[in-house]
Amino acid sequence: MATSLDALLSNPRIWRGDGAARAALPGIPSGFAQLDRTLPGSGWPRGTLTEFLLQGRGIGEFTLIIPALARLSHGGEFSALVAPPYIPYAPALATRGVSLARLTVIRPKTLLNALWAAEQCLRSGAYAAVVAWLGTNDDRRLRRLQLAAEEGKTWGVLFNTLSPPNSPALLRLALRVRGGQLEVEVLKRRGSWVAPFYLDVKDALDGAALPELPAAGPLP
Amino acid sequence: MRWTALHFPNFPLQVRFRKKLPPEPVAVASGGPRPTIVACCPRAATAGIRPGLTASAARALVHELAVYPCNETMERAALEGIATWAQQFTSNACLAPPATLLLETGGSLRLFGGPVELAKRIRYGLAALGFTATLAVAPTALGAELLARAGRNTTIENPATLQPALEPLPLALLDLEASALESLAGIGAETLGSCLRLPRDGLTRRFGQALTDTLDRALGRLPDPRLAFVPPRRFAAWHELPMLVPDAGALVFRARQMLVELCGYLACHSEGVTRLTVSLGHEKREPSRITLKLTVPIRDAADLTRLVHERLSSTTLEQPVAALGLVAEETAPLASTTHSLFGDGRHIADDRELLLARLQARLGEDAVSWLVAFPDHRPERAYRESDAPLTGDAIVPARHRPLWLLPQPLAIGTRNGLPWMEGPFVLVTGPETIESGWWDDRDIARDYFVAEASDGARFWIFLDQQKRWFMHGVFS
Repeated sequence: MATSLDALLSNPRIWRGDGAARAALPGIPSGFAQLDRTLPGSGWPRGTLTEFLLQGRGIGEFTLIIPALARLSHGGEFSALVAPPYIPYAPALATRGVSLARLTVIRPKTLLNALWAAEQCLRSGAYAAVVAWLGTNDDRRLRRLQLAAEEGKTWGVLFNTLSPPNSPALLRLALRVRGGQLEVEVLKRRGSWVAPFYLDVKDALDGAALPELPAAGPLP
Repeated sequence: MRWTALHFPNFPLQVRFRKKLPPEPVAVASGGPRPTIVACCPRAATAGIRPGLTASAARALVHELAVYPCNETMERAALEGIATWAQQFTSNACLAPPATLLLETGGSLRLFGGPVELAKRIRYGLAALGFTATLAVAPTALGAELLARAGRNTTIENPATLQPALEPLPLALLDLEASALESLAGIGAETLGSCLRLPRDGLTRRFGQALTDTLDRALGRLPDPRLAFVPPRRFAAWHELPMLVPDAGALVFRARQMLVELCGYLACHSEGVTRLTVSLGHEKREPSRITLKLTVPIRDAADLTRLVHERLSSTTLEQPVAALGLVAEETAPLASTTHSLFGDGRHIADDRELLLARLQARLGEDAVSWLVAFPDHRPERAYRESDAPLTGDAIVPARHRPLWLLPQPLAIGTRNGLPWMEGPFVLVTGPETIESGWWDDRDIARDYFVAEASDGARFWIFLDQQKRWFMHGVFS
């Protein structure tokens, strides 16, 4: 009985309102101490979707996940970018510590193919992180992606400017710029409500204050 | 020696239809002025049709009988295809046309986990290819062949039991002249056994040395050298379809059988395929070709089938398909995984390569790429996109570089000489002068700035020599 209850409680789809929710899988350290304190599992969650709702583009949303992608690539894990809006700029990514040999860029030509590609990448488990710019708020489609992320134990990241009314993502953050800083509002997380907080990503934005990272290890 | 004979009953019919027989009774007839039936389906057989009957007599028996002409080249090619596939079991595979294949499997038993396991593998493989066969094992090649052709699914490991097993077989299995068979029947010899009991000298005198030699070879008293089939250096298969197929997705079933053949071929070479061309033959025009490029060698029929399926289902046909071709354009060495020590635990890397191959098959090859940083001062030339990951990043420290680059610099307007887009830009850092490229006629001279728009978003903008402002990147 106890084991089945544990299994039930560790199901990522079960909502628990007791504050310090535990994550089934250890999180991916985000590189921002304040974020890590807020996120269940002390980092970006594997095995679920993380959805960012953006107020405009170019406010630091990509910078927010770069330290995690860099950390994954140094640990020998791969990430995929699905349907990026512009050219992911290789020199900037490499300078920020992302090993380019562990980053796949996938550019489907239609939304349907982009959804398919994101789902395949999430489900396969071959990528630790799948970052997608899909621009859809169809919650049935997003639910398929959430299930695929659970199956592949993958950190799925969606950047969206639209707000799906009933998103299945287990972590939802709204980002906006306020007073020269990035305001992060946690719309949904496993655990209790948390007040919006500010992150200073300005310096990280243009790579002016870069943390020193060890040299990239050899590919497996 | 241990020979495994595979005999394919009704081979002409199997070649034409594999296991998908049409609903009406069918038969295959030889060519010539008086075509005679060489193979027929079970339904036709119950109606009294059997090989040797003339086609007109057969039609008189069954009106709706569909008679197809025999195509010996196609049958020979099919037999060679099976021999190519069988190279994974032995390097000594011999053709015994028209419908039998001989495999020397004495050396392969241990590798494949014993006779039962080996026979099971051969049967599964043949089923995947779309063929059914009689399997007979004997210490001599001819012995195994005769047993298989007689329809005996039997295994004779002990040479002493070979003669008793061969004795009841009819003499008609030996390719003797009809007159010789008749006179042998006249003296009461209709089986190999009764023939063996006749005085040797007299038998040789009346029916020639060839008959006694054949019997001796079957029993292993005379050596029976066979020419081993040499598989082609490059795998290429071409199958005529029994009917026109209007929908590419429907070809997958047939393609799978050809891919199984390919994988058998690859297994014996310890290789995987890296470039594969599927040709769709049409009736009155050049075949259309689909090429699959794979980043890693693949030798799994199921994986390859999934890839081909992905590609075929996204192909629209302008004309129905009459034939299907498969060519392994490029292959690469691949370690043997068939009998891996640790079960079928596959690496994540393999999964990723397969995933990417599937993505490429559906989205197009250029849809999947890797980024490469390139040591060049010009921003638009400081990166490349490659179709394979490059190890060892050449990191050129690049501060004040945006994560997004626009495909083309975007012209932006000015107000009072300052850049303006839905509001004024505030220049945060800069200028960083980039002047380079005089050697290849793509030289640039620009002053780059990090600029902040009124909503707080940051952009990478530059001023060229004509004092025009452009946006080149987004800090995000």
